[in-house]
Amino acid sequence: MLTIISKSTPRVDFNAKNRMLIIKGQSYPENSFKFYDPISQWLDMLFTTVEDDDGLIKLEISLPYINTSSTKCILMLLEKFEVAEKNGRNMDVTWYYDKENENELECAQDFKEFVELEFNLIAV
Amino acid sequence: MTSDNRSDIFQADYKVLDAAEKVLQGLEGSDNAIRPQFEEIYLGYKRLLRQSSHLIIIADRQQKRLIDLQNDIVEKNRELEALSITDGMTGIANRRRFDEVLTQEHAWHARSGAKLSLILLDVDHFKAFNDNYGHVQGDECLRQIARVIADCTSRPADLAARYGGEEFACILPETDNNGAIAIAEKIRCGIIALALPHKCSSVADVVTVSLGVVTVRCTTGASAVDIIIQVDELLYQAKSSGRNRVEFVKSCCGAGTSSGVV
Repeated sequence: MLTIISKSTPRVDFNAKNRMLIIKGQSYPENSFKFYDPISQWLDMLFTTVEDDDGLIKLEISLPYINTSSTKCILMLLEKFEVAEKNGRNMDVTWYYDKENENELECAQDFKEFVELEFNLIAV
Repeated sequence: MTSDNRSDIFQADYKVLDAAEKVLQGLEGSDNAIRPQFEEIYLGYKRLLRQSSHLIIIADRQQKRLIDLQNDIVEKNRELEALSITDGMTGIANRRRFDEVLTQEHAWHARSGAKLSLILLDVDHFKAFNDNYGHVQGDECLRQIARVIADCTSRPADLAARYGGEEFACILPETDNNGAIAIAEKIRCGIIALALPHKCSSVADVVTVSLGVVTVRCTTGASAVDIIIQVDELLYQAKSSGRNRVEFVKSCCGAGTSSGVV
């Protein structure tokens, strides 16, 4: 299990054993690619090593603020899930948003509009 | 894919894609070895272009939301700023605003050498008014008085403020003593004209006010507080010499005072 925490980046928990990735918090790193690339690589590793009958692969996202380059990286991550789902993986994607923050919900809806991946939007 | 993007900012990108597609169609059925590789590049580019156009849409929307939010905050800040310098009950400037403007005007007049006048006034026997008519009536009385004071100080640079409980003050920039006394008299008469019954007053059967008027040539050495001390003294004299009057420094003999009752 790996956890990354910093001010301008979201909290990222990656648990290969439970096949779970959590990305929660504001995302505006100076170098988004540098931040998200390891996550992308973990996902590639996960998708190639996990067997179909190992069960669900879970993704939990919560992004109160996201800059443009992070948006690109999140789009890339979601597309990896999209492809994996098309390849028959069982996915469980949940996008949490602050019920007080209308912007956060709209942002999540924007992603939903452009990614062919089912995900739950849950207000917290 | 949104047609919007296709028609504007990604126009050039799609031209490249269309050109590549034509090349690909030309290679259809041929056994050119480069075809599979070219198709892979074509599809990769198409996918990335699609992703970029989505990215632009999401980022633009996000930016719009942030700009809207920022505008809201600016607007709210303006409202809060206005509230922070307004007296909630009477709607005229509050003490904070008064202090701020007096400091500014004092500094400005010290440079320009112009005369600055100040009026300080107090409602006569206001405690008795409150005790007799109740605080709701008392508040309404202060609101009406504030309106008269505001109406009488209508030049752009004039400031009417609630100074304390039943005390009001006016800052009159570039105004000489006669001008300020005239405004003070107008206020005094305007308040009598409101004809607010005040049966507990020793002065009249309606609400009246006592006023002090001071006119100074500001010096950089003296502070704005010195003007307040002077005008406060004059207000005190107006009170102690019978109320319902304007007290000011007689210009002929400097320190002397005279009642300005009209």
